[in-house]
Amino acid sequence: MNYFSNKQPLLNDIFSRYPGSPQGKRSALMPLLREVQDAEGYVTEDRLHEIAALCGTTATEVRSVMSFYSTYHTTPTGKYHLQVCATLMCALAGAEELWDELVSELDVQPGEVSSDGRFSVQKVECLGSCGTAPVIQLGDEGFYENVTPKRCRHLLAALRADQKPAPDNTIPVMVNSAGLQVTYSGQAAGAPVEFLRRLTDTDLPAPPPAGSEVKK
Amino acid sequence: MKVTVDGTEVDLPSGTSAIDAVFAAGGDVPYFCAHPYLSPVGACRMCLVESGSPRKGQDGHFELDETGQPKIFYFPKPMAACTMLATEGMHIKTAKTSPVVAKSQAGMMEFHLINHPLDCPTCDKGGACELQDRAFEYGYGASRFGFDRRHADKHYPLSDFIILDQERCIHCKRCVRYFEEVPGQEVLDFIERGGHTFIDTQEGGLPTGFQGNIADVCPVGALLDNVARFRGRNWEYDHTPTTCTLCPVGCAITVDARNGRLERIVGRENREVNEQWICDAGRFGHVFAREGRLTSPLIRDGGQLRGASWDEAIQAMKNGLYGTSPADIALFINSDSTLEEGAAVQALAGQLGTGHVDHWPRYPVAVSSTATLTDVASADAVVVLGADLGEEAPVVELRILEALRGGIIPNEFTHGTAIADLRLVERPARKPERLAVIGQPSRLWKHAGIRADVGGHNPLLKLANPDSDELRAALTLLGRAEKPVLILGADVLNQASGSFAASLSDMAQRTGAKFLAIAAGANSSGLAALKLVPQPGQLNFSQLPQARAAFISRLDPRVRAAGFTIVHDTHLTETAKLADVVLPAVTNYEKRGTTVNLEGRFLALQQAALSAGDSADLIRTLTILAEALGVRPQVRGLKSAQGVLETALGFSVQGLPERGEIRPLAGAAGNGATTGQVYKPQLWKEHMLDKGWHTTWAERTESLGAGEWELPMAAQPRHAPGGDD
Repeated sequence: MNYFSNKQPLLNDIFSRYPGSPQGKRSALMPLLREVQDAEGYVTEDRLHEIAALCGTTATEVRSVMSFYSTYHTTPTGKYHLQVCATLMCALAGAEELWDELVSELDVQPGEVSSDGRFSVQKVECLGSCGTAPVIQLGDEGFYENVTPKRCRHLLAALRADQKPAPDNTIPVMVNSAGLQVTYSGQAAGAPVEFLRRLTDTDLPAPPPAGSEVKK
Repeated sequence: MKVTVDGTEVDLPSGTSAIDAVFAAGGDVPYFCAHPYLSPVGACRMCLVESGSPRKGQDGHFELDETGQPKIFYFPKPMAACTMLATEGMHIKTAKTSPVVAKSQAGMMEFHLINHPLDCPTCDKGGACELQDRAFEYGYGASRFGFDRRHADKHYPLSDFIILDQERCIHCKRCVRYFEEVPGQEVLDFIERGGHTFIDTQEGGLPTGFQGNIADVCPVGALLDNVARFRGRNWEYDHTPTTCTLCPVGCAITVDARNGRLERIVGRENREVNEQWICDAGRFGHVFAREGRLTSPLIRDGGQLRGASWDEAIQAMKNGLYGTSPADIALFINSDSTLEEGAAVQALAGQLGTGHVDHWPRYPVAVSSTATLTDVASADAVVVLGADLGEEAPVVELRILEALRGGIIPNEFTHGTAIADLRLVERPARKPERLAVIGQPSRLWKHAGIRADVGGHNPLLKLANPDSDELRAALTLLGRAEKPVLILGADVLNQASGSFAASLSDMAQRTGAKFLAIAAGANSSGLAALKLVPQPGQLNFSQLPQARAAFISRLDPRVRAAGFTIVHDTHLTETAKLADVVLPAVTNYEKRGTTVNLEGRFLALQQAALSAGDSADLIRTLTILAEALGVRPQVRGLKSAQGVLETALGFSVQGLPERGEIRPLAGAAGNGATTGQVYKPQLWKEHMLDKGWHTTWAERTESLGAGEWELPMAAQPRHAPGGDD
């Protein structure tokens, strides 16, 4: 069963954001991956080939792009997907010890889900929160900062009881359901797609001032 | 454009990259990712140099330093020379004069070696490894990084023929760029990121055709030729630069032999023929040359073939041919035989008075091409008529694809082909509208903008009298183009009748197109010029069963002559099993001589150090046949053959330049000599696939011979012209 076979309007919407040329069609790769990832929680090999066919590229290239970003998964994740930043700043601040603590406490390895279905873990590259290293990101929701092994144990205990503590900080920028980049409070970040035009167009509308409200 | 490298001023054409400026000035810069025929990307960061240019002040004049010379404003940090354009007045400092560069290159080398396993003692690349050499020349010799190295799969088969060692990979991206840019198959890519990056494919394997070239471009031992894996160290091989004779392209190859066994074939550069690339058949199809060889003559004794000495063989031939008129002996040779061997056949036939002389495979006409392969690569329109290039001349396919991505042939300097030609870009926009393919569907179809299936009709006549939109479009394409090239394949040349030459020259005149005829055999155009074809009334190769006596060299028609049959072959073929006398032959890897490729280019063959027992080449074998017949042959060796050739061709074939030389040939000699059979081109010849001789590789080689492994994306050909980036 193809994921996109009965979603023609969605496909039209995604492809309408990019030029119709072969190279332009490839740009739809990331939104299509995002769509599958959000809907199914992970991207299977069948979906790789499906997306490759839609973008007119090879599954190799789709996998190459997908594997670069830690936000896409090839295997199902637990209810709480914990991502430990392992890049330089966090590493210096003790991310390795944090990782060891996490893995031994939960008894899971990357790619696995704990037996209660709650937890999965992953090492990721810089999360952009170096000032508060070491950092754990929970799903797509937010950062837990300055996580010592002790804080880590508290966090896990709370999650085991399904009492998720509020994250210390939200993820700076995310993509909403309309495919637009927004901050946690819903403010537009970056250039919204609807204002993108070819450079030759003369009727270029003035972009809205940064930080203005965007319809969701 | 004047550029100063380490204080030496050189004059260079504009558009030269900084790395080529350094090499042109006689300097040296280490590099891994740059490759003459691939786009420069600056991935390895080894070619760092300090560079700067003079700057004009507000008054419009160059700012001067204390000595009154234009002041050089250096970039604040070292720059990658392979992606930097050299400009007028630029100053470049390499490690020779700049301690900053020496230190940054040594530092980069240290980074390259962070995760490299340093298993050189067991690595096939050892001794011929760019990383090894450059680490020795430019590295510190020690590393400050003490932590664990990355561990990954060390024996990862990308296909049956290419093994990837993911630990050794230094992420230069040459193989990824090769597949994207040269055969146009996006099958390899980086997976993961940072230090975890590795090369992989999601397509279930590598496409057959040109996959072996990635083993050549790999600067380290990550991608290895599986056929030659663990068969020898680089310094143990006898390297013989020679010419491949599987198809009429005549690619430059190096044959590596060890202890008299052929172990490996690698591509060699010939800018004008194959650039740097060879096909999989040429690279991997050599196992037959070391397996199951005949090493001594066989004679029929009591109905059975038995091993014998050459003296016994001569006696057997003497007895067998007793009473046969020498004029009745048919001489049939394979058309990949060298010109020298052809001259020997011609001379002996003259002495015997026989006209039953033929070479196979050949077409009824021998067409002298007017286009060169460089013309093909730089054409603005290519029309392929009735050719399955994958079977006939694979490298022509690559040259056509080169034309489709802009026909940019890297510049040449005194140090060789430009190491980084900045006109080559990653993900080049292709122009499928420049290619029309007329004839049966083939691998090239997915790259063509215009495709016409004409069934069994003659594609040339169809093009001359178009009856469909595609054919008319192809004719318009030819007419509008400035440098059009027609490529004629088997379906045209097999059907060539009396009016063929007229209709071809008519088409060439109408459209101004040059044409490239793909000859049937590796040297059939050369042998046709020697008039090694039967005259009317004489037997051609298909009439072998009627011959009263026959000498057959390296051909396997699976029938014998009516009378005494002598087979000269490298293996005990089906024909040899029927013969009265079997004489051991040498392969084309073991010959010295000259061959003429499809452009009419004379290329030299060299003899690789292979041991093949008592085997003899065609010239020596013919002298032995002459001895059995009691004739003193005119041609007794290579030198006298070359003398005969010089008389026949009007020039000497000795001392050919390394790239070969295009010489006019009296090609019309073969015209009108009927073949009596249709030649169906086959790249993987029967003897290369025979399981009886090489069991280890036969089944895997079959998968290559079967050819068509389609990419998933091939189902959706890209019709939209060009690209937007």
